[in-house]
Amino acid sequence: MLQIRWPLHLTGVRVLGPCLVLLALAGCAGDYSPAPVDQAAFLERKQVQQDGAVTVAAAVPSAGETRQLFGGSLYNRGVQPVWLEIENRGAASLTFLPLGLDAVYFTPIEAAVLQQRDPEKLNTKMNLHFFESGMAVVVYPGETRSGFVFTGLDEGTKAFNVDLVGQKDEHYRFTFFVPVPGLRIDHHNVDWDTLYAADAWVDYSGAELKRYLETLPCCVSDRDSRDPGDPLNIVVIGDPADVYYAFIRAGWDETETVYRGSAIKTAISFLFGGAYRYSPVSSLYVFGRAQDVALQKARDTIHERNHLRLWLTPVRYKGKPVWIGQISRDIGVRFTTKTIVTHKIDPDVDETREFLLENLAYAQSLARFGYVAGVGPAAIDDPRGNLTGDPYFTDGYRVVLWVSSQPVDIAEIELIPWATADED
Amino acid sequence: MPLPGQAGDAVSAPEYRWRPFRRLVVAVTCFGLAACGGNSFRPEPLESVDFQSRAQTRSEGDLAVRAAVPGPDETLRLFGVPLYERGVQPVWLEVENRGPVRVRLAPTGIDPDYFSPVEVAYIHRGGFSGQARAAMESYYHDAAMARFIEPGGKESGFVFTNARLGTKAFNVDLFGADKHDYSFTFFIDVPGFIPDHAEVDFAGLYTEDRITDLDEAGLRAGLENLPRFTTDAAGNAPSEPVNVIFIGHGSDLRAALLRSGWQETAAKSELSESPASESRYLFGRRADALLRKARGKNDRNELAIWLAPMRVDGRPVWLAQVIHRLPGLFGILSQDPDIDEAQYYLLQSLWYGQSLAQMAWRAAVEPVPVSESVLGFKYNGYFTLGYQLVIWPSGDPVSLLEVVRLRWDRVMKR
Repeated sequence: MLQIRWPLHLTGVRVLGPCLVLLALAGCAGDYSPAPVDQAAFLERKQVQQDGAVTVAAAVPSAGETRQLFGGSLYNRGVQPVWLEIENRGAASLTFLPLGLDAVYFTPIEAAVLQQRDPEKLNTKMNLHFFESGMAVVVYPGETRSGFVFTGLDEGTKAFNVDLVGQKDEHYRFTFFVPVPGLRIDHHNVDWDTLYAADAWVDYSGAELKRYLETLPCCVSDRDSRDPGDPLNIVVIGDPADVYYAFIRAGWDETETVYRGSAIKTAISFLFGGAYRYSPVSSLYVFGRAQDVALQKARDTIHERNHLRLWLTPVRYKGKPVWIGQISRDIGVRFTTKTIVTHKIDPDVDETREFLLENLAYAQSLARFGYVAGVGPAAIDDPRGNLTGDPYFTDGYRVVLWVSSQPVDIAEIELIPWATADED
Repeated sequence: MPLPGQAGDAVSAPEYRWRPFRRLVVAVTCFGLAACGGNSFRPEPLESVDFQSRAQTRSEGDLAVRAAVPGPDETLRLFGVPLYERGVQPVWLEVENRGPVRVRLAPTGIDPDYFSPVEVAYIHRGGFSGQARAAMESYYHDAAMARFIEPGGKESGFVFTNARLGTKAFNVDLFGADKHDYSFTFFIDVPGFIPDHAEVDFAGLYTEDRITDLDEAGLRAGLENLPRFTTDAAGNAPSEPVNVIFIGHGSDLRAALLRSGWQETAAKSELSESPASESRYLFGRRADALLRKARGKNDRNELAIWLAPMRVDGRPVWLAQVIHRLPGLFGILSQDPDIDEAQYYLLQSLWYGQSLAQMAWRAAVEPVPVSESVLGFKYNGYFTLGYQLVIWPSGDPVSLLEVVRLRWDRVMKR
């Protein structure tokens, strides 16, 4: 009994591009000649980390560089090669665990086969090249080994761990955040230094900070600052780098700016329910300006994901900038008179807020947290509405999240006893 | 640590997903109903559905947790719509807090991609009247498990998780203000699912006089007497190497694999009766247990396990074969010829799953170099360094750093 399933990639328009490419390749009689890795330009971007007698270097080729290295459009198939080099100057052999880098990593031959649609005519030269490019799993004392791990695609920033096990009780974990060229990320356009004049910044004590946060506007507004929208129910404290590392480690994706390329990708994803994880988001306003950073966490489709937006305030606490923000969980699409279609948000915004807290805690990105008032309560049977008319209910609190660029054990997280969030 | 149900394992239970035809039928029905003003929402009261009698209890310190998982039919009665068909599986919890501090239950620990209650109502709103939709939203919201349990309090309710085939394995993580965190692990049988191994009479497989009893010292020599290749049904034509050996009681082996994200196979299912398992025999029979673990969207690892007529210090020896299946043309699954990679994946999954007590590598069959293998898939070719992975699974969690690695044979480079 054969299991016949229509392959996912043959649905929708995604089939067209690869077909044309394949046709073009077939026309060239398919002489497979990938570029050698040691001369590849992407290695100039490699990051190097060292711990004792172990050195690990990592680099991630872009879509175009990957095509030169492997001859197929791996990115279009959702495959992203990560190049590693492990140097072992210690006395014991090191075991590398690719599952710790990506729980759904591809085997080299799997990645190769994904490039070739006809199993009757597999390009064995290509298969062999992928296999031989694969990263070794054991690095013996005195050795340096390098190669590729074929991972699931992350554009924007590739964040991953390299786990190495040595002798008993010897374990190395290297965490990498590697920017991948190719996207136009919104926060790259923000000039953090000129957002506020140098003399506009104020440093607050704990009590002053609590008072300040309680007086910030309850909600976002639209450009003309008339109607209140989604509640500003999160506060984040940390440098831009802390925020970036904390959220990327917790699985959040960056957001592209609006340009023609992103608009086309969004439209395709919207119509066919695909996962364009970096889709631009609409502008909401605080302090008279659109969000400084938008982040999103995808689930199955573009219609089911979490969105959050952050605005830098002119306030610091113990030297760390304070951000005000809004988070919502998209649970589907619906039609509106205002914007034609919009994402339906979960009206239980406190649930989404607590999800974020736990998500950051499990990702070891949270150092402290507390709650302050400022949103104002809205009961489930008397909800308020956002800018597109979606209802929401809330206990009226904001969660204040001290995020950390360095991992923090979940048992070490500190609760600031300002106010306590309650289930309604 | 990756836990059951975390990234990678979420792609699961295609059996529970909507089939296109049913979707069409439902859509047409919904359209018809909408024209008549929509359906009303009529869930049955919690007490009338007897699934809590199957609840398991764990307790530690001042905390006690009960958990039960309603099957597809019970869920339909409880929630008025077939949640399993849209990949949603409710998990019922009851937490009693006899301690002095408020406790937080993090649903992320049970399933990082859990559904929010109102989301579940929204996904299933089709065909219902406006009034019924509002009733659904508040019903699901009220049925949800509370996030906070006050000192001296008791809370119960549902967490809406992604549906998984077979035994439901999950952790319930509770956090107090005293910096002491608790994690309770559950393995819960779901009605309507009988795993293949439940239908095997393990005690009757071998008579006592056929079983070889060994101690640790005699183990390596004893393993020489076990078969190294699976065969076809007639017992000839060696097909592929037996690349894994487990040593441990069945209950520990099962807990270890479930904790590491492996899923059981239903008896008499599509998978257990597939041509692949049909052509893999050991000791004159098909595998006693088949497990799988989804990797990407379309590929998975498959693990076939046979009880061997051998014991080590009273613990049974199991022979196993792990392979990686890839989607080929039209979604027909073919086998990844790199069988050592599948073996290494199994090792890592147990390692990260905190289920590995001890391991060793054993040179078992002649290596087949990559240059001599068939790199295509027409012939199910394979290449291998020829090692068997010997694993002592642990029923209780073991840290990544506590794994004992025996020095048997040194694995040559790959």
